[in-house]
Amino acid sequence: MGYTVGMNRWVVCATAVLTILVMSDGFVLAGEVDRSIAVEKQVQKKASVQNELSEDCISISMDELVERLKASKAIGFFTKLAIRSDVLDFQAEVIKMRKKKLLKVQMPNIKASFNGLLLKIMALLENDPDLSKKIYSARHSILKSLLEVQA
Amino acid sequence: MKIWMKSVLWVLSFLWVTSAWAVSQAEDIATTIMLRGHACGGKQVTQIQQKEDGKGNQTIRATCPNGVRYQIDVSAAGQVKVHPL
Repeated sequence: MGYTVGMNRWVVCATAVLTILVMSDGFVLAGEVDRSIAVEKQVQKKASVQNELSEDCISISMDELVERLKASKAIGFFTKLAIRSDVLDFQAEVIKMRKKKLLKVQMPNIKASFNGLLLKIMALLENDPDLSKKIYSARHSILKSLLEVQA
Repeated sequence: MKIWMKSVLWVLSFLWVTSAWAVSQAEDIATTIMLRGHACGGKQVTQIQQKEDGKGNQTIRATCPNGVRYQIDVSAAGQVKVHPL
């Protein structure tokens, strides 16, 4: 059986098809690699955000914050007592709302009141930026603990 | 300059910096008045009078820069109440 022109064409076609297949495989692989890199980057980003959040939660406890506030020299003794009184007034308001079963309805007002209180404390702690930052990062847990207080 | 003089100066400067950071009683009382929702018109009060009864309750009277004299009642439990006189 001799090597004919027809066979040559078949060989050329087969080679071309094989080349196309290999190239397309290569593109698919390259695309997959790109995609996996993007997914990895997203996962790393998410993990870093979660780490930052968990660091905030771990490094701040209410007791520590209270102790830091007591020890801070940025505000005076009577000012600290006044802040304490403000916090107690806020808690009394929350308890009153809970008794009247208006806590959920009044939640926007309660949050606004809490934000006002937080703003006051932040302004007072102008000379203690580290503590101010910590209190701001822990604002959600502070509000949560204040809302959990029972009569 | 001798070493001991340098160290004394360093300690004095440190004390000056720390005392500058601490809040004075006049500032503290003015802040308390404003924090409890009253106008004071300045950062420091004058003519401070302080009394304490046998039960641990404190009464402070002070005059704000706006001329209003306030009484601050601090209960033994730490509750602060402010009212103008």
